[in-house]
Amino acid sequence: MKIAEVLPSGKTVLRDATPEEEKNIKAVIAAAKPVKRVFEE
Amino acid sequence: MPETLFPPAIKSGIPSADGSGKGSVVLAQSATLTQNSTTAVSATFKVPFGYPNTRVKIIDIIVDVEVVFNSASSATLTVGTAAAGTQYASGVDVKAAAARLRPTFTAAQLTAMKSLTSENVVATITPSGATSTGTVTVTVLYEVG
Repeated sequence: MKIAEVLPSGKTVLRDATPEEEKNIKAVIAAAKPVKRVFEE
Repeated sequence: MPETLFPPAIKSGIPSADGSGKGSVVLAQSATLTQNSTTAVSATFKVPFGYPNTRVKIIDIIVDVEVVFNSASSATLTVGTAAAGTQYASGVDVKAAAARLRPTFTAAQLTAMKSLTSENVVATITPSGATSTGTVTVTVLYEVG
């Protein structure tokens, strides 16, 4: 997994995410998913 | 541009006998995060953590959504000690509308902001789904006391 890192100069570089960052990114995406509502008849 | 650098802790005022009457100077660092397709975009602010006899405190985080992230599913801004970390702010929706936003801080985040444990304050926008537009400027306000 890659991260686009904005440097103080304003330039953006692609770098590899650390394991902690990968875990964080997956958690953020999971938290943003809409809640599925199940309706029972 | 020429810069003047001061020691990390900057206070101003007329000190009274009991030591009160001094206020800390509020400092700011900002960065503009521009979409990079489906890749998370982050910027790292270095604060003077670990400097002897000083304590760094985040006062506020301002999120200016100049162009919304048009991500297919979601685009979320977080601020923490590493990319996509949520120690200081989480769940800021930068897909909804162009506006100035402030995170809704949790009690744990407010506590973490009072006394930082790392020199890194990392703002990250994590998109989910195809993204082709998006520009957000994040400003971190802090004091060093």
